[in-house]
Amino acid sequence: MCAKGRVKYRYKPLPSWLEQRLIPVFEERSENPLSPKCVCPLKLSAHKRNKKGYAVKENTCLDYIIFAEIVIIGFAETAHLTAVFLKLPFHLCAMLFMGLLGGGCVTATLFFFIRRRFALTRAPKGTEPILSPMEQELTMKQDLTEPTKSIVPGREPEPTRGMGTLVASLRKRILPEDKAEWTLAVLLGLLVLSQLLLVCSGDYRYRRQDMTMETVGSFLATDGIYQVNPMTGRPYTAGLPLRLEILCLPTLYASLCRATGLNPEIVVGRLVPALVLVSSYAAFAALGRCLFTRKKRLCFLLAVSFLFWTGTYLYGMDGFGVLYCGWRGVTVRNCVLLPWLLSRCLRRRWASALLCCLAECCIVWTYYGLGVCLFVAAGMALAQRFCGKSVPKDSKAASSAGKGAMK
Amino acid sequence: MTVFLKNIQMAWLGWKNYTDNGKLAALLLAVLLFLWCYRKRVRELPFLVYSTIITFCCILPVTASLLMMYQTEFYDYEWIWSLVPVTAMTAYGLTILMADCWEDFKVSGWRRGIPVTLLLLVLLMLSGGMGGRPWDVGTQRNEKASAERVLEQLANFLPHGEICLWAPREIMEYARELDGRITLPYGRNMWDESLNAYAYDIYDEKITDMYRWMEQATEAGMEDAGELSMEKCVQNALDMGVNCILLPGDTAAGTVKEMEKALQMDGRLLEGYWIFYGRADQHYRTGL
Repeated sequence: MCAKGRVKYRYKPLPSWLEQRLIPVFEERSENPLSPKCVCPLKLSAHKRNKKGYAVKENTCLDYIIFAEIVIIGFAETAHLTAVFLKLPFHLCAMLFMGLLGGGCVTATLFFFIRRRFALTRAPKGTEPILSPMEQELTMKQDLTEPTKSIVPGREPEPTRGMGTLVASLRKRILPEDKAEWTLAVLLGLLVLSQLLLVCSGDYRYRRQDMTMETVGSFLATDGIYQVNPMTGRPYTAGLPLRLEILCLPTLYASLCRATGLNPEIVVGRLVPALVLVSSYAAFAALGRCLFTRKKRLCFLLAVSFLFWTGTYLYGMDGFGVLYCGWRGVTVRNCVLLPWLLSRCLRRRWASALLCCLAECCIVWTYYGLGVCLFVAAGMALAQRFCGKSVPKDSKAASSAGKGAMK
Repeated sequence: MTVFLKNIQMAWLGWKNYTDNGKLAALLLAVLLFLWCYRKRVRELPFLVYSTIITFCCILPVTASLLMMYQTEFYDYEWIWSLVPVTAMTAYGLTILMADCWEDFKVSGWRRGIPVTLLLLVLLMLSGGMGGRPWDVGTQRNEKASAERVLEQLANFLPHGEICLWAPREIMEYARELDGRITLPYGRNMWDESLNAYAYDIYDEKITDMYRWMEQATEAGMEDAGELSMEKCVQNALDMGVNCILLPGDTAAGTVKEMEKALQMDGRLLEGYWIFYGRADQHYRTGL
């Protein structure tokens, strides 16, 4: 509407609740909401601002999934380091990890409900409730289909609170809208399913240059962390590099084995690669969200899926990693952390980019180097500095947009 | 300086190897070219700029060698490509092209959309492996199943004792993976040398001889294992606490008899392997 400049309107400040509801509508309708070419002032307010005033997109459930995984890696690293330096037996380490995980789950649940309750109680009577960022996005489709219900000032707003509304919005958000979207979604589903079947079969594991399975088995058999050489099961004669000793993935997998009672082959060879595959799609979906609108996002994921199949020809390619050795730290880094890191860099969420760097240090042997995530984040920061004009600063953007609208 | 020059050479060889099997790197270059030609449609220019620069840094030997030094030379050349968002950027370019040729993916646009889709699919298939694997999955599956059966039998023979196994390579390969309680005189890192990076431990000559003897002895019909003496290797194994020795079923009869004589016990043919167990355990315990 406003992007094309067909409808003239006067720019004046709108109530915050209205602005919040309008933002996602413009964001979805616009081809490029971050572009300064779009002069709608509301649209430029469509994004949260970071400390420097750059527009950044809100978090979605995709971001929360990857964030949760990074937190789990953090818990595993905490438990692992505690056990290594205090020389605790492995079962205590596993208990500590499960305790941290349980505590994290409880905290997250409490945080969700308290935040929700807080949001509901803070909303004044007769006004729109203050929605969490995720809910704002979830109600986007409702706004698109029934725009007059919530965007006309003065009209009694429709009640949008409650779990039922959330589920309905979620359904609207997730389910495809038209035949084209359905076709793309079905195709993507088939491709992902075929890859999941391959991964879960457990037969297609590339074992060279990796000893995770033996390490996990050693932890469980000896009830100790790096007490024996995983290759022989005998005590170390000369030891192992400290940088390797502090990596937490074997502890994470062994803890899962201990907690579930499953053997390492199932956990490491099937469950974890399947989880990594799904997480990888979540990370690429988060990246796709920064690059495309809804339908193109599906097309982007389809292309990613095909590229996974195509890239199985060489060790080190993303497809090879995610389909044949999904349990490895380098796979988690390349196929989960890096796409998400790119999406965070594009949204200028540098704190979470730092989280990716830390997660990489915990799961990948970077020898004594700084790792890939830091390099990519620094590279993206430099690139954004050179191409900085593509994302306007808050004040400049608002003023230019306002002037554009007034004209 | 020597290290740097060596890295440059490795980078050049690495690039050749990287592009020998599949052509995803070529597809990425094509996508980058396309995106730069149509850069007005690119929504995230920093993403394109970063990808382009880092791609060329990975291709040019001098910059590639610097990147290899950044990753501390532990990883091979192909791992510097982790810095390049190959999948993301290729998918980005393909999506823009698709969306351009087939607006909103509507049925009405099929005349232009379907040929372009097919063309891109063919291009993708030609660029890579489409499920092709650089190792023999069938052999791996069979070897693992065989090892699993043998180890189950061993667990029945030695239900209470810890198993210290000396066996042909295809059994040793999976032994520790299938049962973490089994110990070995040497592990998978004997033939997969990259695994040696994960520990400072090294194998001494005695253990290397054991491996070489077993490798030579397991070749079907081979009577003589070269210069290596079986008695010496068996003695080394017993000294290391080995209590279970396996030989393939098709080992030469003379070798089996010699083994029986050395261990003073009869072997049993089970699951396609000659199994000798118990005596070594006794020897180990009594310290003879």
